[in-house]
Amino acid sequence: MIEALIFWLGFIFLGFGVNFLLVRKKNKQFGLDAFVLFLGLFVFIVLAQIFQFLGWSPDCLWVIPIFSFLGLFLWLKDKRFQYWDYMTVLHLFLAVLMVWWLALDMPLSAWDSWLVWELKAKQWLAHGWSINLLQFQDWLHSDGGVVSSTAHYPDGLSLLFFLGKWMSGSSVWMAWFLPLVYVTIVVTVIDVFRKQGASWSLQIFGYLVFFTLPLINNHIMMEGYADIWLAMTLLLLMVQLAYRHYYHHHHFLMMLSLIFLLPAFKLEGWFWVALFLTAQFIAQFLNNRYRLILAGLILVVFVVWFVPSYWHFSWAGRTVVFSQFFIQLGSYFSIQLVPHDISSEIITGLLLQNNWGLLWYFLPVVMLIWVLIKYPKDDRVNQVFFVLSFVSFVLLFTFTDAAQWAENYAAVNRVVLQLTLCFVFLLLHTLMSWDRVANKRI
Amino acid sequence: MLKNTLLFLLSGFLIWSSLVLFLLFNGSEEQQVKDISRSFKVKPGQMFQTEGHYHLSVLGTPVAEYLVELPSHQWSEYTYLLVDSDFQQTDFHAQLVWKSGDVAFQTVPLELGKSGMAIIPRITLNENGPFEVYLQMTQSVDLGEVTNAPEFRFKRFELMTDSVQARLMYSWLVMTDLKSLKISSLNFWAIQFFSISFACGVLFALTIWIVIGWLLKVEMKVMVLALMSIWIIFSTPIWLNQWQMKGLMKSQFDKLADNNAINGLDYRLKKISDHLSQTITELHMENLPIMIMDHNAFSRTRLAYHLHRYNVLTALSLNNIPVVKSKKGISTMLMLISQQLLPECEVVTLGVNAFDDGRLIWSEQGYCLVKI
Repeated sequence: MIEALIFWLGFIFLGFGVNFLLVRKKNKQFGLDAFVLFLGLFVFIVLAQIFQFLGWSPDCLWVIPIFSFLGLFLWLKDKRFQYWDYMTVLHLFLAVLMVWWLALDMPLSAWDSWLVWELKAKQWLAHGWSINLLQFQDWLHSDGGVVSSTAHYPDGLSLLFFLGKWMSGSSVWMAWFLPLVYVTIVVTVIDVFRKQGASWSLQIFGYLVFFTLPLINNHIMMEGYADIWLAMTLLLLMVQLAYRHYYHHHHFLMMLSLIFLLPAFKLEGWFWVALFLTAQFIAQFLNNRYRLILAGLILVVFVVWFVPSYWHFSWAGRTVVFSQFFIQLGSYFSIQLVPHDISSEIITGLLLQNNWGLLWYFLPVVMLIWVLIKYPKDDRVNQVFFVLSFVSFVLLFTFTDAAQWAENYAAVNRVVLQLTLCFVFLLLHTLMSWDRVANKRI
Repeated sequence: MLKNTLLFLLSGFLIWSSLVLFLLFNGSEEQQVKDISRSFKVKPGQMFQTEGHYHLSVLGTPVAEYLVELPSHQWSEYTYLLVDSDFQQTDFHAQLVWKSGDVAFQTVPLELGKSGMAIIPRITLNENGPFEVYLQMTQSVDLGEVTNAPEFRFKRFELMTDSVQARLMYSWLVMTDLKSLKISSLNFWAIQFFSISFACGVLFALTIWIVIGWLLKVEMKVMVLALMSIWIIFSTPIWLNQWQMKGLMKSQFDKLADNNAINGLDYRLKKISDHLSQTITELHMENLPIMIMDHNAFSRTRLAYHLHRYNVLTALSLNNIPVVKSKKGISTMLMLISQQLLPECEVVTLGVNAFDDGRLIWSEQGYCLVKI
């Protein structure tokens, strides 16, 4: 636990120091929050990967604690921070309480954790962290390297495991680190709402929701699955987009760090990055009726694709084919769309399994409010992203081979988990704007 | 504004209480319970009873089926099956199977290890003709392996009608059915769910209530407090479960975690790995690849974890060995193979083409170390 606290503070002050040095604006306030924590993680992972690539010794990582101490020094020196008010103390108390609530008395580790992330870290320690880890076929056809069945997985989490093992010989601290990170994020998000004028009832409700989602709690208690890291990163990205004008961080740096961390934790992070960029484009360049257009588009696609009986178009001697089940564009692209009816699995996963409490029951009314009420531009990106990601999730399990894993609810639950924290934020955000909503008429 | 708030709260009370009453009482039946603990058709001596438990000896076959002696028409009278069993073995699964002749047309998985309720499909005789229901127990074993003969232990199997009490019990079990934490338990066997009528009812009630709040222009504080009260009621089981979890973990694992071995099997694998490391050092074969052959995925991957200092090849077949040797220009490799795949560590049984000069170095705790 102490080790986890040290690493947690180390990353926070690392991010704080980097942010302070880069922003350089004297009239800004700086705080210790989840953003600087993730900025610290980003700096560590980037530096580590650079050192690995250059073949430098892991001893170069000692530069990181130096920056952490610099960050601590700057924080202590900056007398402008105003965080020691009663709300901060309350938040700290809640944070300590929730870490105790979430963390069990022994470190548990999921299968994926030691097989994927931790094993890679151990192989770096044993063979040198610049060693080429290759899958079997690649290893056969290359000189040198070490076989690793998880060579294709991203290095983000493995580097965290490596850091602990290299510094202290143990990565047990990761089991405590995850609850600390989660609580930091929750406290940061709720504090964002507080600064926007959220009532105490909304803040308490936010804490309640964040800490009583059964499957989220399970993922926190048993560290190892990267889905929770993706979920936390997506949440911070949403908050950063929605409230960047209120945060005196270096916005571009923060966005960059979060976008980089997505694929650094899990391969599907690339997909989320692409979706965010698409959402940014859609939200910025469509006119004010974007939500109606988007809703209409989705509805039209749905109706055209599913409602009629089989339809089929082909051109150019059947080299371009469009049908409900098959799309081909010459020799460049072809995909089979064999629809599988997995609606019961999705409904079960969202509503019937009690993995998410009552959370997803709010989905229809939240979507309805988005469609009917005009939101500021900053909010649109998050909403569009959520809609795109949810639709992508449904399409993924409906039209691709992923449907075979839909019956095993673990696959559905994993994707839903990555979107769950985002939806909690969006729900709270919708409630924040309730007074405006309630005064509107359709 | 006060009037609107009161109207909103009153409407909430009416909506949610109506929903609860509807879900509990609509279509409910008179409470009837039928104990079928002794209704399994078993061979003499296969089942016996001790204080508080029934014991069913599952003969040494991977799949065992026992007919539940209950006429077809009686099954449709019941909606729930309560299974109270504290027997838990990770490779052991149970389900009810509906068969018409030899054709199985319906299954209901059962969750063992605690008190659980499964919903029984209402199958009428018109649909599939006369049918029989079997309790089927499956044990995952590797081909050629002799199965254990576990004694399936349970307290009761009870059929229940769709009464108010049964619905309450089922809802409570679902809400408290938060999976216990095992090493890889986030792959759930999701067996207990809320019913679709529950989901539709809650969805409808929540949406209508929020829309009413919108139409009445209630303040955000009121809306949030109202939603919070519903959320607290619904999430009460997780508070209890979390508390129980902490107590359970404290009592069961009240020692510092050993980062080297995560369970009893892993201790054995760690010992084998240490012995192998010692052998590799003695033979000066640190730079050569080691092949691990074992059908058990946990053992195979855990061995690879302990042997991370070396170049470990897993999940390969024997045909890969010549390819590896020729591509990498090596003449010798080590292979750690499970005795399930190499009985008695008889190297010659692996086939001549795979090894020109296979030699057994040692055998220990179910594994053979072979130099190939």
